[in-house]
Amino acid sequence: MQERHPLKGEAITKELLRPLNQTPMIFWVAVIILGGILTAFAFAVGWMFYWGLGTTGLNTPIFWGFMITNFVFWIGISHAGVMISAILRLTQAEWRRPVTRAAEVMTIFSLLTAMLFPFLHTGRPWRTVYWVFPYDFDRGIWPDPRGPLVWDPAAVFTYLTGSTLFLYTTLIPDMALLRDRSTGWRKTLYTILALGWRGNERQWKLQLVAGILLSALILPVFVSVHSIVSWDFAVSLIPVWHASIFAPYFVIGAVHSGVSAVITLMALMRWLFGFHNYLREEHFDSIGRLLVVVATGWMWFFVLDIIFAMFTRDPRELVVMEQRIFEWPYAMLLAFVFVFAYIIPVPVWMFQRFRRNIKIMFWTSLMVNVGMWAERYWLILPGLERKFEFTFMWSWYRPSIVELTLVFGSFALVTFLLLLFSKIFPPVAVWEEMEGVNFAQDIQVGKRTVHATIREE
Amino acid sequence: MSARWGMVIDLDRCTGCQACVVACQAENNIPINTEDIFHQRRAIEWIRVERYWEGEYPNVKARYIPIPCMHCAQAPCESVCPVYATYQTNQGINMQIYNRCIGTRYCAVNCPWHVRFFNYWEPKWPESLKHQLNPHVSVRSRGVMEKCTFCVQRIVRTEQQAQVDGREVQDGEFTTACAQACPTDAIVFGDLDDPESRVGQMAADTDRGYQLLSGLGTDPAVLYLKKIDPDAPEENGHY
Amino acid sequence: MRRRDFLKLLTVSTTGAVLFTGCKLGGYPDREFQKQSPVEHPADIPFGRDNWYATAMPAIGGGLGVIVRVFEGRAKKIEGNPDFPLNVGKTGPRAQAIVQELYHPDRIDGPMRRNGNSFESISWSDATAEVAQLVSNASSPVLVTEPISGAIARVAGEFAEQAGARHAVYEPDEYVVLRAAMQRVFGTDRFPALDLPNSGAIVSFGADFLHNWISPVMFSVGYGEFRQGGNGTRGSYYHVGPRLSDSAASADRWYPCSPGSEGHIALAVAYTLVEEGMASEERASEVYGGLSLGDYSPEDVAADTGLSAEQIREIARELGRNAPSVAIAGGSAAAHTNGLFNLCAVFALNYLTESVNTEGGILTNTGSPDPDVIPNKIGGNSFAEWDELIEEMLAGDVDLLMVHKANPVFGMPAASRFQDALDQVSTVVSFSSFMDETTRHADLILPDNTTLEQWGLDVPDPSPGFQLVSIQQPVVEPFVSSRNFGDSLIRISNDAGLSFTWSSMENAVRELGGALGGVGRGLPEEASDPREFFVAMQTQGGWWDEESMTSDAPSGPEDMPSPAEPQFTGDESEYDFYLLPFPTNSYEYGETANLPWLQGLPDPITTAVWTTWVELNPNTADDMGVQLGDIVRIESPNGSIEVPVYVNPAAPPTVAAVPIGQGHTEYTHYAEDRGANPIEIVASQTDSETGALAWAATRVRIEPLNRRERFPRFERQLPFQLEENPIVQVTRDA
Ligand SMILES: Nc1nc2c(c(=O)[nH]1)N[C@H]1C(S)=C(S)[C@@H](COP(=O)(O)OP(=O)(O)OC[C@H]3O[C@@H](n4cnc5c(=O)[nH]c(N)nc54)[C@H](O)[C@@H]3O)O[C@H]1N2
Ligand code: SF4
Ligand code: SF4
Ligand code: SF4
Ligand code: SF4
Ligand code: SF4
Repeated sequence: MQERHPLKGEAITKELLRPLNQTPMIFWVAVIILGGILTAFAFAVGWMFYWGLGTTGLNTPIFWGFMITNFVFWIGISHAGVMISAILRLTQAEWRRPVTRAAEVMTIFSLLTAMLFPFLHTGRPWRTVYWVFPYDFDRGIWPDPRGPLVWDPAAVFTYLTGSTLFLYTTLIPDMALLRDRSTGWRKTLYTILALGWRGNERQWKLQLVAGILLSALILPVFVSVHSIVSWDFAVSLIPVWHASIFAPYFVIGAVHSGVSAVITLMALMRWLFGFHNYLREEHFDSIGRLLVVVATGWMWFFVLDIIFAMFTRDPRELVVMEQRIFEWPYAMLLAFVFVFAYIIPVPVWMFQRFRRNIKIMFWTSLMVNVGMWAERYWLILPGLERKFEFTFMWSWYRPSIVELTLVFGSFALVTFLLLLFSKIFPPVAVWEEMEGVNFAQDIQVGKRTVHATIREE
Repeated sequence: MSARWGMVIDLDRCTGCQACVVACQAENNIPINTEDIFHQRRAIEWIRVERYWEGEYPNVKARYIPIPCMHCAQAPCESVCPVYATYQTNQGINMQIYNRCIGTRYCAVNCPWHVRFFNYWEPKWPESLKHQLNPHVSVRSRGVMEKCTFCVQRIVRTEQQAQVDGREVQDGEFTTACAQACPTDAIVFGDLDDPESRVGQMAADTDRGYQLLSGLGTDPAVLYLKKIDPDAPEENGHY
Repeated sequence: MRRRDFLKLLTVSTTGAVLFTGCKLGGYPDREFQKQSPVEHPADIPFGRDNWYATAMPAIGGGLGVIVRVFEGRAKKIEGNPDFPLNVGKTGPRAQAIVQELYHPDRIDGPMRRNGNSFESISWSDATAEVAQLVSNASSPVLVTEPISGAIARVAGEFAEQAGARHAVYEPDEYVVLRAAMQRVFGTDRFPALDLPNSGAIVSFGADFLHNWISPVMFSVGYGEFRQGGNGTRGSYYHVGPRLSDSAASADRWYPCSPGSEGHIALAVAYTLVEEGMASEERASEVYGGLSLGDYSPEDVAADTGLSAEQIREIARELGRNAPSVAIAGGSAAAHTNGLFNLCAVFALNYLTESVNTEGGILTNTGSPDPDVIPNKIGGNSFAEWDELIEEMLAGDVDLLMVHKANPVFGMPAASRFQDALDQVSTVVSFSSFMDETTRHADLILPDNTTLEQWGLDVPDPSPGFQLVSIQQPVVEPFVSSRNFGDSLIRISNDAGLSFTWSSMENAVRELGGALGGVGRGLPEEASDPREFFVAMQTQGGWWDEESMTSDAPSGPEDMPSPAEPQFTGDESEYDFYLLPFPTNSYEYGETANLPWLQGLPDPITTAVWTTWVELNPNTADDMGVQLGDIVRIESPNGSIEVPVYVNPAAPPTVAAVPIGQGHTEYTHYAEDRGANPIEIVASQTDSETGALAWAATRVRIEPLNRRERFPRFERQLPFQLEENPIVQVTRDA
């Protein structure tokens, strides 16, 4: 049940298409700043390609660092889309409507960004083709299916394909709408993308079935992606990584950070595009509720992971756990993760007053993701620093400026892509909003008139 | 030739002199470990001598242990390589194909013995020192993983010679660079499958044998013989 | 490829992969997954021929016999010569690195003449003619070399005679004292061999014999057998000394003693041997020159030595019960004002355990089969003798100094004034292959060939216990325009219009080596034909006679130095640490600091590379408020150096150990301006008997500078073993 002020069809369309037609000053400021960061990013990539991975802070035995952490982080973010669209669609949560588009787009862009990192972090990126695609038929050597580095691209590509199809399916009616309302190159583009959508009943039905089918199909992929990413670590022998709990733990962590990222994005869209009438307090409220559950689930796994390690009484695990929990800098980082990803946001989200305060939601959701980035780092690095009992080789890691640039650049990249997207495609699905309006009725509840949606399918 | 190459390293003989380390560098074209490389903690030593401390002054002990690749039969480094750049030969050697390696470094992450080394930089030699490079060993470019090969070039050379002569390779006919240099004979290399070989007999006869991290079940081909210390507590064999 | 084929392949390979992964049987994966490395592919093996040439390295480890792999005219790899008795196929880190000397980028690539502050290239004919001129005109020339023997000793000897030059030999002072001790205790000034494989115990008083003491490779070969060899019992090794040296780490027990107290400990050991009936009182008194051992009971001595009486008794029992056993002394024990006493007192113990020239004991060096034809190694001059020469040089009485390999400017303390003295010499000629500190002062440089390009005939010191002559042959053509030192001397003599016995070094080596055929014993046996004999000698790496082992022990030491306490420069109240310089595993006294492999080779104990450091006890460091990498100033009455701290759990609290070998201002870009040289700040105190520099007899104070540098080392942290999972497992039973 949701309450709101009734809106008219044409007004909705106009309002939602505004970002495509109007370009406020702030957009250009953002483009310039992001462009600057992206130039630095491109330069860092070039520098690293030219001189090699010596330009990173990696060493022996810390062979993985910021780039892998960032990969895991962005894969995590990409879980927002499916979580919001597919799951909420299947559970018919009405409040999903204004959020799905943004969430799906973020899925795709963060996936693309995530995929960049395993590629960047290889020693010879220009030779990585046969990692994924076995081009050298003559020698009959194929990628080795025994290792997670082959499962990774399989899972990620599948997820990317699924998400893209999903997004596209939901874009078609809007493309037709835009086709009918635009001229010039835009018209050509939208004509192609609309795939001859006329909005007849058969098409709507197909679109609906496709959406539901894709939702259902993509769910296992959604679970598998972060499970498989977690197996990069879990199937290895490294003491604290080698944990069967990793898959669900990573998945729920991904949902936590992904959904939080959606809140951040919603707040930004609200401010940037003035979508007050669509991204309303009650949406923040609903997502906030969801997050309290997800975050607590994540915290449960977080604690379980630590307890399981202690439970083994394996000195190799304990040594790393000790470092993670009690020693600088990991003790600080642990406190940071706790505070940022749980202790501050969750109690705040317990209050409806705060859940409906956009600023608070923006900052708390941002905090979650800062905390979750740190969590990935906290999970990955200590295991490498104290790998087995060769204390002689125990090492430490300081990221170089190149790696820092790559990480900041990745944030700029996703933001930039989202901005670009909003100039070409409506950031909130127009047809979904309209559908919502059509399903809704005014219901008299006591003295108040409540706008509610009742579906009977 | 069927064999399972392996090593027995006697810690009671090893004196930490590091002749094995230089010998391996000379034989296998390992780039010069400069001061900067050490600061970056990226030094490459296919065999390294670790030194561990025990106790406090004046009852303090320093103990040495040379560590090459274990050439695990069930090598955890192999199954994680996406492109088969590291693989097992039918003679039990964990081999590295530099040309295939794309440098994901997963293998090194998953090697518990810390014996895989990544070329973070392009290796460089002064022009004149290049005359020393062993033509039978590839110089690795940056971005690839490298590691102890059990001096496979020596194995190949010996096998070819044996083939030409129409005979089998004899035990002790050749050995690895590290074993050959080792002045105390702490390192013995040979065919573990051959019960007559020196390593075969040493492995069978000893009650001092142990494998590093044997509990992981990777079946290392390097067997260590415990150091003898008359002052060691009897119980657990270490301080 | 057609799409159908591709799909077919795809399915087949995936199924195959999954199947074969699933049923991995036995030790290693199925053939299916075996993709060959190019290195295993015969077609990829480069074509060309390997040649293996035997030669020798007189300057490394007492004179190792090696074989060198030469591929297409380039030396690739050095291995021990399995036939050569000293090192029987084995090498050490320094021998392995000698190829880098050959192809070193900073080698002096031809003769040079000083031109202001730099050098200009000249031709060889100009160079030798110029030196010939100088030699003819010089009134008081001096020839300085490293210890030399065999053919080069003959050539240098004849040259010195013709030129009327004095021959001074530069050698680390530790060895000057050792030679004197050998002379007094065993009647020969040559270094001893140890029959470790048959020995029951070894006690080393400060000698780092497995890493850098006279012939570490030979001793290591013996040590391996000693610990786990054929005779079934495991030899025991105790180490007494003020530092846990690289060797001491392998000892069963290490007893940290006060610096310079080794001689007194030895006397107390002798006392105990008598007391516990392991040696007779008369013999002891005879061996120690009538000294009454009664004053040297372990209890009497304990307080001054830093050991407990019980520990001293343990040492005695170890030596006595396990006889034949060996007691050796060296390193800092020799570098005190009572250095000779320390060494003699220790080496004399071998008489009490009846371990001199017996199986399992210490073997005196038999030397050359014919010292007149092939001279034994000429030992170094003492610091006191150098001091006289320095006085003369300062007075301007030396007008030509010719120096080969020796680098006294680096090796002598600043207090010796050698560098100033060198400036007073009108002309300095250097025969070095590398620009070192002494060569920097040269007016002419006639670069020598490096080890692998040389002809030579040497008498290794120590010998393996029997007579041995090694032969050096060039395994490759000279890589640069360099020339054998001997050839240069012969040319110079010829240019001066004099006739020389030999026309070249090769000629001298052939002739002198050929003469060994006439000895009528030893290997190789093909003595009938001189040509064949020489070729056989070249192929096996030298001549030796295993039968020439001496079995008769000298009756006992002559002229035992009387017990003396060590004297230190620097007042204890002001200078609260003993400065303990020590030679290292990688570059000993600095001779091989120019080779990058050795610079980058971790020091066994500290794992430090490319640097100098001072080792401090953890508590001392705490009190001082310093940690790893903190720079401290080490100040002696004679000067100061600044070095980073290495906190060493095994460092005695009052000892500041600093490695020798770095701190070069010249010596190729690998060694230049790197670390510091502790010898620089050593006081010019000498051993009272031999006049050798007592480089361990200086006290210092240490002052933190509140500055930190990254300390280059191989280990990452300070690795103590995890108790639950030790990497180095030990067991009590042999
Ligand atoms: N597939 C294929 N085969 C070809 C050709 C082709 O294009 N493709 N080209 C053909 C032609 S044109 C040629 S000329 C031949 C060349 O064939 P080969 O004559 O076999 O040439 P290389 O292999 O270059 O050199 C032969 C050997 O000489 C050694 N060598 C080098 N310098 C010296 C020296 O000073 N003295 C001695 N004794 N040995 C030395 C080298 O180490 C090498 O082992 O190959 C022919 N075969
Ligand atoms: S020791 Fe490491 S590199 Fe060697 S085979 Fe085993 S896992 Fe692989
Ligand atoms: S670094 Fe090379 S060998 Fe190692 S897993 Fe990656 S591709 Fe394979
Ligand atoms: S060049 Fe090397 S990697 Fe490439 S196909 Fe030939 S052998 Fe294989
Ligand atoms: S076996 Fe060969 S490659 Fe391996 S450590 Fe020894 S010398 Fe190096
Ligand atoms: S060469 Fe032999 S004795 Fe020396 S460190 Fe290596 S294994 Fe030990």
